[in-house]
Amino acid sequence: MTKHRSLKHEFGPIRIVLLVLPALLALVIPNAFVRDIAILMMLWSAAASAWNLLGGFAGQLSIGHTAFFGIGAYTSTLLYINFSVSPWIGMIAGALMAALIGVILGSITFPLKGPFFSLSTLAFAEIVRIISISWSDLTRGSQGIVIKYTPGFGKFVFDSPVPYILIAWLFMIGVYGVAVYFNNSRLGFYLMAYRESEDAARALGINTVTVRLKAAAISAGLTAMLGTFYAQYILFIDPESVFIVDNSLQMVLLSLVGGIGTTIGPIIGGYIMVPLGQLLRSTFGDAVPGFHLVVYGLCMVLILMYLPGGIVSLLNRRPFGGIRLKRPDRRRDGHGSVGNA
Amino acid sequence: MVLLETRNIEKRFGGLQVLRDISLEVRKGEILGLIGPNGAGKTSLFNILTGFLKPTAGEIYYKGKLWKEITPEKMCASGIARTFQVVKPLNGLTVLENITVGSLLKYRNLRLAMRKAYEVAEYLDLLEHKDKLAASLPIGLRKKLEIAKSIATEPELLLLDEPMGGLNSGEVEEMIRLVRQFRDNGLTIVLVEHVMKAVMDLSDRVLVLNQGTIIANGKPEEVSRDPAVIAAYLGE
Repeated sequence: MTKHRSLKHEFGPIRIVLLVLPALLALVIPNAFVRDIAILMMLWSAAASAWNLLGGFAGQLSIGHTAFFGIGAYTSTLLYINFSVSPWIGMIAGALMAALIGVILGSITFPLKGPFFSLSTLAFAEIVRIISISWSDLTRGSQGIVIKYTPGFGKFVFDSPVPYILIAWLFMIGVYGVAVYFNNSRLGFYLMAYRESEDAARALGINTVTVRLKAAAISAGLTAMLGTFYAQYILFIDPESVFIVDNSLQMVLLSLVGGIGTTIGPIIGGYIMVPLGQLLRSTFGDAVPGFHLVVYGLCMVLILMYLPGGIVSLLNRRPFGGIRLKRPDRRRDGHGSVGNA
Repeated sequence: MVLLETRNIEKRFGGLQVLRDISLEVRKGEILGLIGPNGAGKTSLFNILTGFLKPTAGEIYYKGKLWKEITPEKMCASGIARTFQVVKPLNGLTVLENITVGSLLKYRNLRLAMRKAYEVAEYLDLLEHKDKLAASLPIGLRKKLEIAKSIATEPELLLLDEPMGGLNSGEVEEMIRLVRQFRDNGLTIVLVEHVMKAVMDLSDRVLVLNQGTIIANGKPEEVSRDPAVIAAYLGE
């Protein structure tokens, strides 16, 4: 029998360095700008990775994930400011809420194929955004909500960036862990089978709706937790920051750039694109308005043109790039028995 | 013992009647050949038996039990596996991973499922290709992979939709050998095939479909002499 996959690879030396480096650098370099970039980078890497659970593994290209992000941010924040519920608990509530909504949304939209599914998720996110503006009794509308700066662990507010760095890092590692689980489990295989061919998947006994609903719940729940983190880090949320379509697109783009459907790809995408965006803005932002976006777009186009499988395809040699980071294992020990009995 | 039985199956697509009054039995341990000219309704019948299409009327019994609300995943889970005429490999996955998706039905643990998939790959002589992406395989191997995936679900009844289509004569010989081996290992097989040599060599019994109805049912040599069958194939 062979060792086809191993956690050894998902947590191999290169991976460990990649996963630990940003947090380490941010802790070592006491520069506010660097630390801010590192925190946002880990946040968006984690968000892209959470999106990738559904978008990459199952190929369900959602462009409405910002809805879950915002639901997480608003649930914990509203619970906190109205009922003094600790944002840590609010975060769990937001995750459950988003997971439930993800399942409901999935049961409605999963029969739709390809672009129709994507557009329906986009429409859903827009509806949620508009509700968040209009239902101002609950959400305070476009005015947004300021979270009072009262540091304390239970309040999920800190007077130093260090806890934020650590928490963002833990989130990122956590989502990565879930992606590794997907890549090495029945659920993940079934999602990939669905992605490759719905008919083949069903003929092999896979209930393609159930497995996708599970993925949707997990993906939405994790995205919502990151929304809470965002709220507690920025200490201000409004519909235009947490429900805006740019967030959804960001998750898709980071995954595409890094390597969609892979475990580490979306994280690498975040490592490259988030600092690039921030640096370009700080370099060119004042000189020529909008120029940083042109350069950002250009970089993205170039990466996708020359590395259609994403950056991870540099690390592996699979012809289609990044379905998964895995080296064919040639080691064989012993022989399987013949027959299918 | 009758494993699968249909009673008076009908299928219409709007005004087009593709199947009419199909009653058939698949007996445990046999290889049942299903032949007929193009458009006779063979694939539609397959799709109905595996839940990909709903019959307009009629009943399906599996192991003596009436099946309502048939879906492909339920059929597979209860022991009926199929292959597709136009093969559907999971292109982005390796050969071994493709087979593993099949074996995960019975073995929920990935490691165990992979081990079973490895055995299936060995059985079907696919081991040297196990780490190749399914998309990179030539048609002969893809046909084999299609069968490997369904065999990995450990079915009792295997429905093969033209497994020899597009194969060269050497590959056809190998496929005939394989199908016979499956039967010897206890599988019941329904075989839709255009390669007559294969159908005649393999089948214990042959059903001939023409324009949506069964026009002959019997041993291969009887069926091949049946005037109605000759007329259907060659025209009157």
